[in-house]
Amino acid sequence: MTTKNLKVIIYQPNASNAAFFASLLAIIKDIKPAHELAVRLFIRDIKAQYRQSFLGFFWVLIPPLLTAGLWIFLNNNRIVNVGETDIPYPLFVMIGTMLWQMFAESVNQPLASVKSNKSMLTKINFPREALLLSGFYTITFNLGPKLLVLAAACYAFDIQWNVSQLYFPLGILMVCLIGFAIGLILTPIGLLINDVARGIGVILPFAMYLTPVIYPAPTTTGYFAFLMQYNPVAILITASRGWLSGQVSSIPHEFMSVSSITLLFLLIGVLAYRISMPIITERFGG
Amino acid sequence: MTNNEILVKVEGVSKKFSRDLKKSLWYGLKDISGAMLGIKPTKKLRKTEFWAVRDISFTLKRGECIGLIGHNGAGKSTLLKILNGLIPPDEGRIEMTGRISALIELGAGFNPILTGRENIYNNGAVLGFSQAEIDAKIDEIIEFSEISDFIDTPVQNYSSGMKVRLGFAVAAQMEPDVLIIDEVLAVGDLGFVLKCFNRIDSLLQNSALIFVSHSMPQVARICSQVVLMDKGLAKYQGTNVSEGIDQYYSKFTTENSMSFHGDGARLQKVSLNNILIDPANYFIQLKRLRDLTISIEIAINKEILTPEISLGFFDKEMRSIANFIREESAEKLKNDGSVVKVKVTIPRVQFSKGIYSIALSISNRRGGKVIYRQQSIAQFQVIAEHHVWASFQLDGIMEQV
Repeated sequence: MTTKNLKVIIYQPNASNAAFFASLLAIIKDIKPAHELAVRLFIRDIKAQYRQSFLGFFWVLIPPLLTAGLWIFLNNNRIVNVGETDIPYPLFVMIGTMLWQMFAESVNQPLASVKSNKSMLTKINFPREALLLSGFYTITFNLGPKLLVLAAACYAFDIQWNVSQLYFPLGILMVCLIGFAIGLILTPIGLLINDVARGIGVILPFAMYLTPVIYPAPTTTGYFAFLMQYNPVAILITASRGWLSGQVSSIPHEFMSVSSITLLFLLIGVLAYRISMPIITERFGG
Repeated sequence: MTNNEILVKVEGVSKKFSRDLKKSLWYGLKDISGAMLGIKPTKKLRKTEFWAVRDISFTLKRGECIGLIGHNGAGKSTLLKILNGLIPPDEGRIEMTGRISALIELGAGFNPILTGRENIYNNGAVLGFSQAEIDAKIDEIIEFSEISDFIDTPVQNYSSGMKVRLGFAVAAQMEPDVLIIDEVLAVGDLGFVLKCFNRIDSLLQNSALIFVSHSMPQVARICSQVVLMDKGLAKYQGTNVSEGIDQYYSKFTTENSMSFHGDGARLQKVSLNNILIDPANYFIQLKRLRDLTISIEIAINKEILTPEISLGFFDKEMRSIANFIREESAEKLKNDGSVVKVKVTIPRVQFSKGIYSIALSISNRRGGKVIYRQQSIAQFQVIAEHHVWASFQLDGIMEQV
């Protein structure tokens, strides 16, 4: 063993002007070990979660199924009238709530993943991105049962196979990524201040009603239609639903721009996370 | 392998903390936004901030061990976190060479629902082992932990000692160049602690060790230099480990206890080696193998004609380590109604380096009921060259025959 093969690590006060660039390099270097650890943490969490539960997967499906069921009931009994949909309303609302659930879980996941491993953060030096990755793997894993339900719903309502359905996975990916990016950007502040997690919990259900999840996007002009037009989640959900049901056969350009902005924010979020983690670790104490 | 490689170089490291939570969070938000924009943070202390670690420097070569000692809150753990790369220093610079491993918390990443075997993989992954590495070492890990009977039991059913065993067994597989250990060996039974030390000894041959502990015998045993920290500063630093430990102990004397039970007697005066013990001067220092005289004046209820006085000696961990009882006939000690004055001489005190306290107990007659007891009437610090595990270091001679 000689010094020449040993790597040298230097710790000194942070915040040089090259912080962004240096962090980016460090993140890229850490991807492989972070992935390995993330897979382990993901397996650990899933195993523990399902070993202590009898209903298991069922819990992933309950919230969207209940929401969908409620709205199908309200609409069928003419208690509320959501207007005409291009596809049967039960299918419409089912796809909508499943997509919304994917989005909502993605918003919550980064903060939840980091928080649940808080004690490890103050004691062990491991690639911090592993927590984010394991959160993302959890989201992906939870897609499984939702997709099965959607497949069953499409079969039940006799939706024909269509080339445009090939776009649907892209839609799901972007719905998850935009949620993840939003959650990630809120994570550093959310770790310091509990108000953020509470705020997310309050705002998300409310935001669902500002998004065409259970009703079709209004086509008329007006304040509400304007809101729909600039609600990025609305754009992604509407396009994805269109692809799955065969109503839309190309990638709308709004979808492209929302996706690009999402990816940009995701990058900023990852960098912000890397840069802020040492500062947060020190405030955690412990 | 050369033994002159410097593996750790710490230069003037400082770290500040805020006492107030809300302020701390606010500074945290400001620091995060500053760091994003590449603004250099201020070096000055902000309101409610203090230096948790101030201007610490040392170098450590392969095969050496540095002990960080000091009372709770002296800044040791903060310094360790900086050394471990968890938090950046506010000032100064640290250069570390090679693989760094930290035994700061054993069993990180354990999930209580999962079995010991599964958690070996979890803990191993957190410590940076790959799946294949653990596959190769799993039998060795289980054997080292000595809990193979329970390895497929959920960890939530383990005792804390068993968790520590499993955690250390995984951590013991690391082969670091720089090893950081923080107080983790405090739990676990004696057999296991000794096993851990053997493992650390073998690691030490190839690595530089940074060791935080409150157990001075452990520090004396493995460290080649010590830093005694107090309020973030290095109060003592050097290779004379004994000197550092003496200074640490002398910080630790507390006032003698006033608590006692019984109203048949009242303690009036205590002197050790003719030095009066009072709240301002509650302990003396004594060189090992010198004589100790304990003079006591007690007012005892005059109905008790032949009281019996005995002394007990306790070490810093409040373990009873010795007693003094009178060998003379019972009638030799009489109470004439005024103050009973006694002087106890203990020749050539064979206690080892450390702080000891003296307990006083008085009974109404030999073998009778205790009428007075005080846990600590005075303390003394034994100054010695060597530091040994036991409280007693026998005075003797070894000759070759």
